Amino acid sequence: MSGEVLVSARGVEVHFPTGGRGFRTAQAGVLRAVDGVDLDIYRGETLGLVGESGCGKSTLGNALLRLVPTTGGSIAFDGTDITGLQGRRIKELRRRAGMVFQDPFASLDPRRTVAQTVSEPLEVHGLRKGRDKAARVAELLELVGLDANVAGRYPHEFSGGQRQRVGIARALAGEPDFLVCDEAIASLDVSVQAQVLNLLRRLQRQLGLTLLFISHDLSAVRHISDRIAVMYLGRVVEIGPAEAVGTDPQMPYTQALLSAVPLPHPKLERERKRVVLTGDVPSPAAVPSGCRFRTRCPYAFEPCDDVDPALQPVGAPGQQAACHLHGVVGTPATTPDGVTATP
Amino acid sequence: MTGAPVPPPDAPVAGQGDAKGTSPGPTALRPARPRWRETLGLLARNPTAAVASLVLVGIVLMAIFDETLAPQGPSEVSVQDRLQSPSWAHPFGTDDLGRDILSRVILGAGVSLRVGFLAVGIALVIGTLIGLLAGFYGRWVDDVLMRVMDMLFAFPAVLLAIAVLAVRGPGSGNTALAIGIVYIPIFARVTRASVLGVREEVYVRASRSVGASDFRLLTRHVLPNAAPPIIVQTSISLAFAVLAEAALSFLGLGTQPPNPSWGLMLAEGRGFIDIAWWLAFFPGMAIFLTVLCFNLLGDGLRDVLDPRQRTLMAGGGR
Amino acid sequence: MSAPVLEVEDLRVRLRTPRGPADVVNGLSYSVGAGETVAVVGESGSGKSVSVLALLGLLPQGVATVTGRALLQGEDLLTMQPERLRQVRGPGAGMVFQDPMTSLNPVLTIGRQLVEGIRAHTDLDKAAARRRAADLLGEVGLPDPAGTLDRYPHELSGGMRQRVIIAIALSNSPALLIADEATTALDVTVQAQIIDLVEGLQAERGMGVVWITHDLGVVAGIADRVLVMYGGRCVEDGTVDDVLENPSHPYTRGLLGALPDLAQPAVDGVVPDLATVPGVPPAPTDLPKGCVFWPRCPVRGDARCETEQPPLAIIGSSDVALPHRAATWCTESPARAGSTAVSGTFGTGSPGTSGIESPRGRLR
Repeated sequence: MSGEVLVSARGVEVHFPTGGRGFRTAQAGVLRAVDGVDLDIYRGETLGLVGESGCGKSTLGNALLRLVPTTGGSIAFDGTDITGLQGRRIKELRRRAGMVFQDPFASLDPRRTVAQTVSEPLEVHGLRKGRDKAARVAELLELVGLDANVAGRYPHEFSGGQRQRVGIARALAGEPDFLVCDEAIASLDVSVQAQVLNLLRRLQRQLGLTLLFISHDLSAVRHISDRIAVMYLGRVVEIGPAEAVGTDPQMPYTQALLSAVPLPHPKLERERKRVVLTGDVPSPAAVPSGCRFRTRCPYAFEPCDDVDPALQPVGAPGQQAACHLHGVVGTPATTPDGVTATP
Repeated sequence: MTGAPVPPPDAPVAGQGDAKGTSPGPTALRPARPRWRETLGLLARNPTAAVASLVLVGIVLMAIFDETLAPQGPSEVSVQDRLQSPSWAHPFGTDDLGRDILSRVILGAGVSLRVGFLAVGIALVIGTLIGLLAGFYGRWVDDVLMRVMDMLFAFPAVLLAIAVLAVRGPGSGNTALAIGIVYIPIFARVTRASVLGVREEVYVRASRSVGASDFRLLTRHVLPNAAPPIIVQTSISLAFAVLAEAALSFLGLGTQPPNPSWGLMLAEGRGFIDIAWWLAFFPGMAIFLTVLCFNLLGDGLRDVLDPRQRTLMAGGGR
Repeated sequence: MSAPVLEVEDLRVRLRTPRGPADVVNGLSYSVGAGETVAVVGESGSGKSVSVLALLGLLPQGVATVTGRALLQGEDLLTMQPERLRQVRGPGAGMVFQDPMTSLNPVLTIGRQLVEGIRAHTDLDKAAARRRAADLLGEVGLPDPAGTLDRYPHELSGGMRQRVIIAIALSNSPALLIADEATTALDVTVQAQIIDLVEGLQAERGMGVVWITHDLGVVAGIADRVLVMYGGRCVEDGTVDDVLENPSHPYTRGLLGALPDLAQPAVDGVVPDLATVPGVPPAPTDLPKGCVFWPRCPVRGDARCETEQPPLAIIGSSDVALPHRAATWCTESPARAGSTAVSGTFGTGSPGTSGIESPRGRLR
């Protein structure tokens, strides 16, 4: 890992209009899927992005690749602001940054062979032609642990784990620097998950990739990541070295998340004290004022209502958490916008 | 240690279903077959659709080799042979001008099918393109295109066809154009609905993520995957187009005499129905048979192109 | 422990498929006592879900052949008349399925669906059934139970829906609760809530619980007894401590090794690679002749592996109420790597002991 930042997000926002379009615009609100994320991803590292469903982690991953338009903030990829990119430049970004999707049964076109799927980036970017292309496809298939002679087969002939390998081969075809894995192991069985996790780790080392590993599974994230970022309701609430975040979290939400992860050790499980959160995650269309976790936080106190906490260094070197328990730092809630738009 | 060597942990794995609740059994080692050949194979196992396809192939061949097959020319008038009932010399009988009805049915196939194919071709190309763009781009493109289609759709079909023919004059080509225009909104709607589903598929997003252009997405991923309902619609529309050509010719707006067309023959035979039933019966049967077979083929295709049906049938037929 | 609530003996399920008969469950035996939780663990295709669907007669007729015995409070479910089975399903055994989205009817209110279930098995009138329904919703921890009765499933979150489903399953005070991947679709914090809820209800009502899952972490927290399934067979069973701390079947060991473990300490800042089980499970239409795990087994320490099916044999002491058993020819078991080192980092470590004290205490 070098100290060089490959992807840098500043105040990134992805807001979706809710309610109807056309005649029903009167009812429209705003869904704050990603709501002010600052994040640096260093070249050659694996950053784990964890959070529960609806926290915006997938949307953020898509936004970093410009697959979802941002409504605010800026994203720099290798020093270039990509939020305004057009045409050829955006195509180049697509070559340099790939994505592995969750469901290996949906992410491969059922009507195209493995070779056609894996060679698509090569054709799109005019990287290889004819015999070279076939050789490169074979090389990619072997790289992900598949036999090169499966190239002519269709996706329905493969198991989930094999399909996911095909998906990874496609993402790697353009020799990207940056790979986003969006819940890439969530639909796989435990033993197959392990195969894919090991493969991703091996590829990351072998190819010097920068990896953003998005998952709801804290155990898998901690296993594969150098650093972990925790998202809650559209915001990164804690970030730091995997070891520190995974064993000594500083933000009450991370602590609750960590304590809710079931461990396969019966004795530990019996001794463990759980922080059981009450209630549900608020809707991203009605984000609480101040600290967005305060409605479920067991430690919430006065400043949490009014001051939106900023990330501040705390705990291990490189660890940051957005929590007033470590000192009240942040922007006071401004009533018109900061307060929820509850009907 | 006994037994075969243990594969390395990260080795290529052959086989089946390791992902959750999916992929049945050992399909993995089946050699790859092109989809269209698989489709044909499955279609062959559906008896009605198979017979229908064979009959249609026969009708098309008949239309192609009509000159060779027809015992007489379509307009060979022979007054002394007028209104003869079916016999060995004239299996389908003769009409009021002594023309051989078998020959006219054979030669009429070409006219009817040409109009049918041309009409559906026009509707297919334009309708699919409109549906594809509307479904894929959504928003204002969708609004504009589909409102135009709605207007076209709201217009009574026969009236619209008559209007086109009134402006451009009667004749086979214009009949095809008229029918084609009437069918455009049907194809636009079917395509749009199918594209709306496919557009959201992860593999489309995946393809976009590696930098594929909209053109590539549309031609390589969206259209092929949205095609099954369009193919079914094509088959069924062919049936209706043949019928529509017959109806327009019957009304005197389509094919003009003395050219043979099934619809026209039906119209001409109408006056003689009580003294010479064969004048209307054989062209009517030809229309009936063609329309029925296109419909049966359409139904067969619907079953075969449905992925769930596909798995069942492919498994069951082993 | 008193007489078991559920006693399954030599359960076999054969399904007719286009590819020939599939032996999905092959001789499964276990029992569940009152207040006891038995976890059935396995990957997809192991037969774990089919085995419970078969018990309740929920497999499609004509496709499935079920043999064996399954005594629910002394009555055999497998030979029961359909009418009797319907009666038994409510008060005898309640069931909670994986997907809280699809197990509720989207066009009926929560109240309708609950009241229906209650009235089918009791002679309560509508108002009384509704009161009981509200009580149940309160019991499963839903805020505003009375108001929830009039809401539709889509108005509730996933966790709330799963609570409703549990309420429906509990509505007739069953002696047995069967949870089939009941928390798989939920977030971990919600999963923790649901597990707490089920454990609480179980302690209160003394139900037997069969918890079907692929998640060994959940098993460790909830189960008294564990049954590991592979290829339709039980390959290992015993107390949760025996099976998870001292796994004896190579498959169980493989499964545990494949699990990324939060409690496992990093070595020089690096977590070692996961152990993987090569290959994929066998198709139920084509089970191997000998040990069902043989083709993927990294040990294969015995000549009989390939040819002879190993019986479920007791490992270690047979002098206990719940002996630890495994169906393998290779029993010499190295203690599970890492299980001792683990307690160091995690131990009693209640989260939040480090950086954060009571907020007020710290702030003053």
